[in-house]
Amino acid sequence: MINTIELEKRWLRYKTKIYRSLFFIIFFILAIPYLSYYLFQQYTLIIAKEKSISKVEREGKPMSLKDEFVPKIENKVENVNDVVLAPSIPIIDFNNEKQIDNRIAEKKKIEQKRVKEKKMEQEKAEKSRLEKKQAYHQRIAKRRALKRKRALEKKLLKKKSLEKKLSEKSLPRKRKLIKAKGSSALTSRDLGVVSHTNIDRKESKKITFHTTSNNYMPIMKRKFEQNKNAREAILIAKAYYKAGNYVESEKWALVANNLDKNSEESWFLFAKSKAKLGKKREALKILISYHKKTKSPQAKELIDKIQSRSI
Amino acid sequence: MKFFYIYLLFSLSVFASNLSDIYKLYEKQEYEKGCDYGEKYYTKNIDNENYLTFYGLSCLETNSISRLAQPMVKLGGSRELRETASYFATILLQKQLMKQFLIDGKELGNLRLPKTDFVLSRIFNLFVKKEYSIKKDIYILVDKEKQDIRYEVYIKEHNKNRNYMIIDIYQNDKFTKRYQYN
Repeated sequence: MINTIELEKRWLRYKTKIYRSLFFIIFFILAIPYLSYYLFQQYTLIIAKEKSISKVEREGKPMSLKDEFVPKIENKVENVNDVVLAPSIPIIDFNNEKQIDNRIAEKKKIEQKRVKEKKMEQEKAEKSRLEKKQAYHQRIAKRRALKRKRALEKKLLKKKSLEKKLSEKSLPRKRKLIKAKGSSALTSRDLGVVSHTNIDRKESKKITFHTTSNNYMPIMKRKFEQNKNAREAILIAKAYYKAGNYVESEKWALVANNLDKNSEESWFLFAKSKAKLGKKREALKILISYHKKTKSPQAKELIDKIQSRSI
Repeated sequence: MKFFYIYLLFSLSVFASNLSDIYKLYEKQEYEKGCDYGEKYYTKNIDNENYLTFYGLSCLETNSISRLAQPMVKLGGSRELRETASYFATILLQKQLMKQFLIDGKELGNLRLPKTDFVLSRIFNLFVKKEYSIKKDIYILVDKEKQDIRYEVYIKEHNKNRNYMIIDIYQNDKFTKRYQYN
């Protein structure tokens, strides 16, 4: 029978032998570089120490390596002296300080002066700017006032001219009726008046034209009967009034008024005709009631005229 | 015009030398005023080392010892001024270390800091030498050189974050002066 235990032992020995040799090989591979590096460092240290020793020996002070690297701390502490500190109070030269003070003060004075001047200049500039602004504003205000004045004058003038026109309208025209010519052609006698040789050219002459004809009334009346227009009735009343036929004028004014109650002219003609006929109170009554209703300034004017008996 | 003269007078007084003013205050021993004045015109006289010296010396005699740091860092134009700067720095350091010792119990051990003639410095050296006795949380120190003078040092709690270190000085058992450092 085979002895297995003995065989196993032999096998184990064989294996350990193999592994041991492998371990040694790996160990040497790893250890050799480290070992060589360590040895190199040690060698350089030894060389450095040898150099320093030889230097000390050269200076005539032989010293052992041991002495150099072990400091004697206790001896050192005993030999240290106490440091005593004291403040030193500075000596001040007051004359010099005064001079410095004066210099500083002068400097500051100059600076202040400069600042003041600058400020004044700024103020001046500001003042002039303000003045300019004020002048500009004044100029604008003046211009505006002038414009306003002109506009007012214009307005007044307009008003005056209007008033003038109205007064002209309201004034009774002079009864300067020229008899119309029968024929349209002018005679040599009529022309002779125009061909006057001694005409003063500088003198301005007011020429008033009056258009009328003998058959004016019948034409107008016919027209009125056709149209039944208030305007035509007023024109007829006007014509009668101008001709001095106040009864007819009153009648036609009433007709016109019946057709158009808002026609101012019909009211006025009616009142004026009444006044001319001596019925001033009635005329005033009518006008006052009309004035109350319409607040017409022309009615007021007419009232005043009737009251002052200028009609 | 009247107002202009008043203004001029005022401006001249404003621009007068700060050095002569602080010197006068120091001479009159008005240290509190001198210290406040020094702080007020510090930036204006930052390069005037004489002014800074008087500023520091004035503050040294007051409770505002922390203000010493301001002139301390700026002094150094001459040998004397450098020494003055070190003097201020030493006193400040000693104050801080003493506070640490009194509040946190940090040992001063064998510290060898420069010596000065200032009270705080003398007390610090006594603490280093452990020449003190404790009575109800008050450290009592007697200077060997000046036997008649007794110092009492203790911490006074102001609030949670701030503690004051009090130094009471007695001469022949008579209270003479108190320093109160924050």
